[in-house]
Amino acid sequence: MNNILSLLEPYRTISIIGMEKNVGKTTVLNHIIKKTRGKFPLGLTSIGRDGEDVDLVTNTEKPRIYVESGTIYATAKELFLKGDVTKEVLKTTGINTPMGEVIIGKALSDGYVEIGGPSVNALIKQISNEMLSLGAEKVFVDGAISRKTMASPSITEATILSTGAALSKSFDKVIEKSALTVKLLSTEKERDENILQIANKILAKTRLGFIYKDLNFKNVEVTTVLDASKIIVENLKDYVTHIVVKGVFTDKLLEEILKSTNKYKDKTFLVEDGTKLFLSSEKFDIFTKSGGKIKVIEPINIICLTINPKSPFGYEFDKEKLLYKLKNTVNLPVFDVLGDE
Amino acid sequence: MRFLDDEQRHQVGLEYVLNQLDIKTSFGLDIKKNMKPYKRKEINLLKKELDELEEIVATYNKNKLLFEEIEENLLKLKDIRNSIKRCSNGEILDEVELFEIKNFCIINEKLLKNINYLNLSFLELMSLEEIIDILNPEDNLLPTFHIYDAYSERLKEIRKQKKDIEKKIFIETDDKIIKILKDERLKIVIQEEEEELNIKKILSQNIKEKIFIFENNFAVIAKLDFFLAKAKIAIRYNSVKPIITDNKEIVFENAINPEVLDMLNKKGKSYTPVSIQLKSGSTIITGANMGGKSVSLKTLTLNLLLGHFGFFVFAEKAKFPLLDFIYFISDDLQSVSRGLSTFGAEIIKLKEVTESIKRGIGFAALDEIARGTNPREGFYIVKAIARYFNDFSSFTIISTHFDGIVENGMVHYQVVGLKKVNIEALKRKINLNNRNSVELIQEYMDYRLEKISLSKVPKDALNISILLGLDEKIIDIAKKLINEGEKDEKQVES
Repeated sequence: MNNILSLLEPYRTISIIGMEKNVGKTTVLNHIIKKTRGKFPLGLTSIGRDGEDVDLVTNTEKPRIYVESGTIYATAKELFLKGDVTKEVLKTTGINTPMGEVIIGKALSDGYVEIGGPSVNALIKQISNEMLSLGAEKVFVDGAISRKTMASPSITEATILSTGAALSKSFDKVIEKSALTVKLLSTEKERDENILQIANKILAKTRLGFIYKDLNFKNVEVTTVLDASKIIVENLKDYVTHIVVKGVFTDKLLEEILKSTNKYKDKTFLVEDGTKLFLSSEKFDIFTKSGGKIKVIEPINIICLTINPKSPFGYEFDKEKLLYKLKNTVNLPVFDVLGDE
Repeated sequence: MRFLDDEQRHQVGLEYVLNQLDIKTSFGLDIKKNMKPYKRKEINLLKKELDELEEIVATYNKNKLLFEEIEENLLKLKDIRNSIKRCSNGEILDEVELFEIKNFCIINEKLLKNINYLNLSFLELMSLEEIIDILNPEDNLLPTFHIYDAYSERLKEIRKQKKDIEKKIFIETDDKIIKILKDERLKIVIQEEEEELNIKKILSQNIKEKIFIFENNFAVIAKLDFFLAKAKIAIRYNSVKPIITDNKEIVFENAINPEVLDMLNKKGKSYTPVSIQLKSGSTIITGANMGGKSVSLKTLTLNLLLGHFGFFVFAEKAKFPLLDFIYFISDDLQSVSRGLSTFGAEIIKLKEVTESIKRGIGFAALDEIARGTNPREGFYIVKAIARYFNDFSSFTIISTHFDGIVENGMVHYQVVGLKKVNIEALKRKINLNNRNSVELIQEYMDYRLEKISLSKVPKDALNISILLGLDEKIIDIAKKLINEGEKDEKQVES
């Protein structure tokens, strides 16, 4: 994993996203912390999980991280007070989470900290920037892909995707799932500034909208997926160029559209970012091969993958084979979290 | 409600004014939430508050930049009341709370400088320098906080040990030895936490000794924040300090209602302020529909209320005594939806007014009362109310479209209305322009109130009917009937 640092060099905010629990996300973070020791101060925070997931954070998935003295971190007050570093309070943020206000602190000694931040994009961005202005050289945001988190790695300049044997017992499935995730997360950004502006206007108001050739647009209120697919199909007129969809874009929605029309050809479906795409490989392929396009408003810049060949359920894959296969499938650098410390 | 219920406060435009208060701190918000009108025996307190507000208004205009600085400082203030309460209960404050208290104290000192510079001597903010010294034991004053080594030799020693072992952990590569070292570190961490707790206990006790300063300052900051917000509204609408008198007279010159003013301004229309002089007893306002009688009553009620709450009033001049109650009765949909008829709701409220009037001196505005019942009975009910209330020391102001309510000893105001307008010419203009006739009438309507001695209602209802294009035959019949009616009345009177 030594080379991972040189990959990160150009970026000031980096997210580490796990595809599952136990894929070694924390190991990656610990590795980076260790390798940057004495070089520059890091900033750390994490994308919080809302509501019912709180227990998940407190009880099972405690991202306890051993940090170096000088590290700046943003975490909920309850977790902040639990850390065993000698802690300095730098700032209170006024941002509240179920575990208290987010506090920006500084470790005055080495030791363990527990990180749980806000769950909203704009707030994570705000906190990352505050940590940078308080002296952090690079900010790492710990996150996960889930329908429940609203925040997405698109708020950071670069993203590390963590995957591994925990995904599936089948070697091929792990490769396939990982490759699909990479494909969906790195979905191409819409480049046309006019379109982006209009899309943001639509998203500010409703969950669905249509952009026309003459750059006029229409907002539509929808309540259910079924509703959405019906309205989309009805509105796929010749003069529509973009369909803007807020929130998750699912297989079900795509299936309904594929079933009812072929007018999606040469039209672009715009979603907020790649984490909103919950699509199967086959549906996605049918759609794109028959001329449909999906683009995002905020791109995610995946710079590398990390893999954990060991599963917490006891099985393990051949690490070399996994590395080789994945590298060739995704066309990105892949690192083994357990190897080359 | 002796000073209007929430729905009525909304109706007269009080809520609109209060929503404009730009309050920066939760201390100030609490004052707003618990606002109460001054009682008659508290006249000196009210006068003092108004004088202080006057001082802030005057100082504000001369020191805008400094007040901006004050507002920025207020915005940064965190509500630490909960921590202070915990502290006074003998609980131990945590690092984040101590951090917040330290920052509160730092901003407190800045505000203290601001206030001293402005010479606002009635804001008696006390210095919290001592607490800053305790929470900042090192030389440089920083807005951050931790349990400093300077607090205890023992802590310093423990932390040194901790650092040493952390160094060892860092260079060690053998996982087993790392585990042993980490266990050892954990023991030191526990010692560190124990010593930190001891220190937090002492710091909390030190703060507890100064709780009276915090409590004093919370109140002063609340006052500063709230007064500043009031002063800014006063300046925005050119308000004036009301003169609180012992006389039985209410005087308003060019009073306005901000909600109506802003609404009209947005539509590009002009607003007519209201001037009126009320004596004890009944004052009757008459005038045609569309003449703004309701707005006038609301404006008076609103400004009286604001005065009682210690605000400047929206007028060029205002004079009134402190009152025991202020009532405003109009068609109010809320009570109607409770299953009462409009009239029923009015009567129930009127009972409350009548009870109050027997016991104290207050103000009651009755807007077109009994409009919703049959006109003959309605007329006599209004006449009876006016006559009965006229004998009390309270101020009752009744707007009505009934003719002949005014009796000797009552004051009568009339909306000038269309009296001075040439109806024929206006009618031609309406026909010619083909514009919205309602808008044109509004343009020509003179909303001012004039005090009159003759108790004759102008025929503006008929004029408006003409202008709005009611069939001429109907107008003619109506005119005839009115003439006959007036003749009959004269015969009855003679």
